[in-house]
Amino acid sequence: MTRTIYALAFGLYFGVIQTAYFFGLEILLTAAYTSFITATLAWISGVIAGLFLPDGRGDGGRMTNLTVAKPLIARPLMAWPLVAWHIAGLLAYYGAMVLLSSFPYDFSLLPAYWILIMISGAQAGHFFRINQPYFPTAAQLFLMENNGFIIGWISGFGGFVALGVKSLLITPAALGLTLIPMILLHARYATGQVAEPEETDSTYAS
Amino acid sequence: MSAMKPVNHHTAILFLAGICLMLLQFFMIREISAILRGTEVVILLVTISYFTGYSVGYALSGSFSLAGLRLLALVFWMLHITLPFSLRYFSAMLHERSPGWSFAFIIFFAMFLLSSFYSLLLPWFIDREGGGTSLARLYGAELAGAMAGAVGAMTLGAYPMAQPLLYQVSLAGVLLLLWPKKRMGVAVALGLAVYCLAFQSLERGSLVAHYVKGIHFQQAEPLLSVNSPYQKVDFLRSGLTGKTYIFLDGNMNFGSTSLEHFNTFLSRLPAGLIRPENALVIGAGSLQSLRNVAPHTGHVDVVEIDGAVVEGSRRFLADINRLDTISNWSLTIQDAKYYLGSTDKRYDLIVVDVPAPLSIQLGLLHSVEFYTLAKSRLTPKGVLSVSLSGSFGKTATTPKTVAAAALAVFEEAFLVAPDIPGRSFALAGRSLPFGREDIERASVELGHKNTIIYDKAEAELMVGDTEPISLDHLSYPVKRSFSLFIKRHITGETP
Repeated sequence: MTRTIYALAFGLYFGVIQTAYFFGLEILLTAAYTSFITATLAWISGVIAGLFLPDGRGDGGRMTNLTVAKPLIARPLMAWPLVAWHIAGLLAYYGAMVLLSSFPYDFSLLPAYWILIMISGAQAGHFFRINQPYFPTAAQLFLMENNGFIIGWISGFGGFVALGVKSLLITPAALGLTLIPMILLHARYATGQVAEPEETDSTYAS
Repeated sequence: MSAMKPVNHHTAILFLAGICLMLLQFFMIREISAILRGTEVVILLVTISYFTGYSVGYALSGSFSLAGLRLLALVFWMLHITLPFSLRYFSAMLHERSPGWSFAFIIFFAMFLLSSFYSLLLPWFIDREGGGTSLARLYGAELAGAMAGAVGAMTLGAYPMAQPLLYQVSLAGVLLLLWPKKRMGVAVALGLAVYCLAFQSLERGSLVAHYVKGIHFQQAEPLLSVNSPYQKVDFLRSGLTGKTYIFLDGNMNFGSTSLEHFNTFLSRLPAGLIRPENALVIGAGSLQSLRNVAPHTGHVDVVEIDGAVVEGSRRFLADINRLDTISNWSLTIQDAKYYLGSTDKRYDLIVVDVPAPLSIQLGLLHSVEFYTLAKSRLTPKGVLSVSLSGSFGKTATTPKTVAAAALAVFEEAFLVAPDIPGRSFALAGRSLPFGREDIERASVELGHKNTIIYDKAEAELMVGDTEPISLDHLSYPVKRSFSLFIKRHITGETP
């Protein structure tokens, strides 16, 4: 696995989970713009929060004031906070789906949906923050994640068209669980426990 | 400006770029979709192109020096200050020669010339600042700008000039922060002034060009054009007939004579037959259905998701809806699913007057689950009247698909095909308070002697194994919009 595939896979996951939130809200809350704007703003505010969250490295997760990437890499990347964030984002999604199907068309739950979407979005922000040092340039990280996002967006849409609401239940979990081994492997590459294949110019564990 | 610290400069640029990106996502994607006559497939392709533009920007990010970036910003500003007018003029001109070329140009534009400049900025500044914590600050600034842009897009859509102007001001800010020269400031200020002064005439002229050359709507006279949170809403008057038309995302929603006649059938016929105490009209459109139902009804509730359509109909279709003569009605701006799911009211008549299922959102309003929800809000003798979006017959797939959903949900139904080209509708309920003869008599009273009526058994034979739209089967709207897309943009047929 290379870091590009890792970023691509996470972009795909974020695209799928975002479309799943949109469709879930559209079907079981309202197709009015309230759903769209809630999902959009909650996701973005989550990403912003995730950008400033503790970075999950082996320093107890304190905020750093480093301005260059190198020292960040010197600290080990711990797998469990990444997995924990990932599972939290996934659980938040399924929490929202359970609420939506248990209490359809209930606007009083809008703040709850906001918080749950924000938790999922926070993982995306955290993803960018934590992975930036492992890419030679920020552009490469954003490029790969965005390419994955486009594929995920198309897949999420296509899955919904082909399978209907079943896709909202199956796809995020299937994809989310597949990513857990990738996170574990990524953390091992990042801390230099395993040599990364292919990308010899990698900043992984340099 | 020059006293500003570079880091604050960068943050401010990214904030403004975030506003621009979100505004583009809202109003330019809508403009482009309307130019291509938005259906699910068109909106999908345009949105994918827009997000591909992000990747183009990221990929090119490392190729620019500061001087190159400034030049690019200037070129983008010079191009974007002509939006959305230039796009309408140019695509209309291309459409006249070949619809395929017009489509290809627009997708190219969306992919390379819409979002790519803004997405280029974020990694450019992060890498310029050496990475580290700058990503959180700069990306956070861009996202904060995106949030501001989203709120702006949602709140300003009803004012025709507001969204484009906010976009132009934000883009001008990006250019000036990147290239803080006095002469640039003067040029940008002049550009904005010209944009404001010329807006009305360019807006009008480019809309006329789009409708006359792109949609072949002769002597179009724009009355209202707004970007609602859902779609581009255009009200036009024809210089030929003097009639007013509604276009939603470039697709005609109201205006043809046959549609007016059909609306009368869809709403007045059942209302006249059952004289409901409470009636619900889903989808306001021209508000003609309200006019048809209200005289026969105690009270009419109208539910419409898009307030801009209602506002336009109040202003420009007063001769059609005659709202000044109707007092027994109330309006709710909301999604019909939400309304039906949250109301305790029961209705003797529900009229579903919504466009054909060319998008998933509209498909959901023609689904088994939606009709089940509507049925739960009908009184025991209540009636659902729904357009089948075409002429019911063995070969017409859309009417068969819509009918299949209604037949799956309701115990009794009649499918009615009046002698109006391309129109038919279903009357369905648990126990209908009228029979075939009553419908025939009512049709004759409405001036149509050759109405074909199918009872449920006959209709089921015609529908056969056609699969209805349901939450587990949503592909129909996409398939239908894909075939429409091929006809409009590839083969050039007029569907």
